[in-house]
Amino acid sequence: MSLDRRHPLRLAPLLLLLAASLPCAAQGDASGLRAKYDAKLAEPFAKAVDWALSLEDAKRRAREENKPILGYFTRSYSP
Amino acid sequence: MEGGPLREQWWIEMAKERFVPYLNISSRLPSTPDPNLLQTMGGRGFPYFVILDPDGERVVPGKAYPQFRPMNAAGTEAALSGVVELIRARVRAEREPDSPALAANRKLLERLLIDGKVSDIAAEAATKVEGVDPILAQRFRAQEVIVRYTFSVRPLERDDQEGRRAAFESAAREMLELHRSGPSLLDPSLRIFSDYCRLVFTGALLAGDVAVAEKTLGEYRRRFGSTGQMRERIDRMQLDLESLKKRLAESEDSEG
Repeated sequence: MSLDRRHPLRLAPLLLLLAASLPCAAQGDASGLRAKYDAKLAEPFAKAVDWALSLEDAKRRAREENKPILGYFTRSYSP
Repeated sequence: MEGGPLREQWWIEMAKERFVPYLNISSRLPSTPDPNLLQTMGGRGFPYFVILDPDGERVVPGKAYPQFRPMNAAGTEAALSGVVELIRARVRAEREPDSPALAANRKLLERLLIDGKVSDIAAEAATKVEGVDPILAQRFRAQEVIVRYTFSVRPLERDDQEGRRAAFESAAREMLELHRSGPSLLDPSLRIFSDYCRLVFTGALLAGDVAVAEKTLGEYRRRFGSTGQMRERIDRMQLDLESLKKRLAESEDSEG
């Protein structure tokens, strides 16, 4: 059976292939993001002080020590 | 920041002694902690810094410090100082829950530091509590003058110099009255110091009060005189003061 070049199903095999590869790509993406996150945590600034890595932990420490919390927001997924 | 201030010795020491450092790394991974906290804390980009009280309520950026980055020890200490003051006031109020004055002090500090935390009426009532810290009450009143001034110039066109000058002079007169009637806020450690000085100084010029103008300019110069950027402004203030003295001398001569 030959499909007309303008037939809507002509791209079906390509779409199926793409759909099948998406979970792999997502997995690869997630592991890449995880690697970047871990790399950020290994940077000298992150090792220089005893950062709390969750707000709950920061609040617990701040209440115990009667100190303010100084929070720093950064990102690991791009420079 | 990460290659500079956040690795310097002053930062490392302050993170041990003065505050609890909290690191939030946005990663686009579902499993990392507090993924939406940046938005909750009012951040719109990176890097973003906040100072929170021990309950996690944001104080900086806020009323007292609209913007903050820990570039050096002095700036970081100044930004922390308000929150430290608030923590101490809360501890004192908790230790003596029956003291209306300590509760009022706490309330005034919350009003000074945290947006929307304490209403106008509650803050005003706190200033009238017997035994309340008069400096705190005065800081609240001075801040209100500045807030009113800010709101009064906001709707004005950028080139409406006359309207802006009138608003500034009105605030200056109000601040001078405050200065004359209550404890002085000529304390460089207060966040409000710079605005307070400039308004009291201008108010004193308008009222022909050489003594207050001289005193205020002296304190302002002591604090900012070594800063290149401020020298020009201080020189201008000095010229304004000299011309006031000259005018007063001339009018004395003509009367004599």
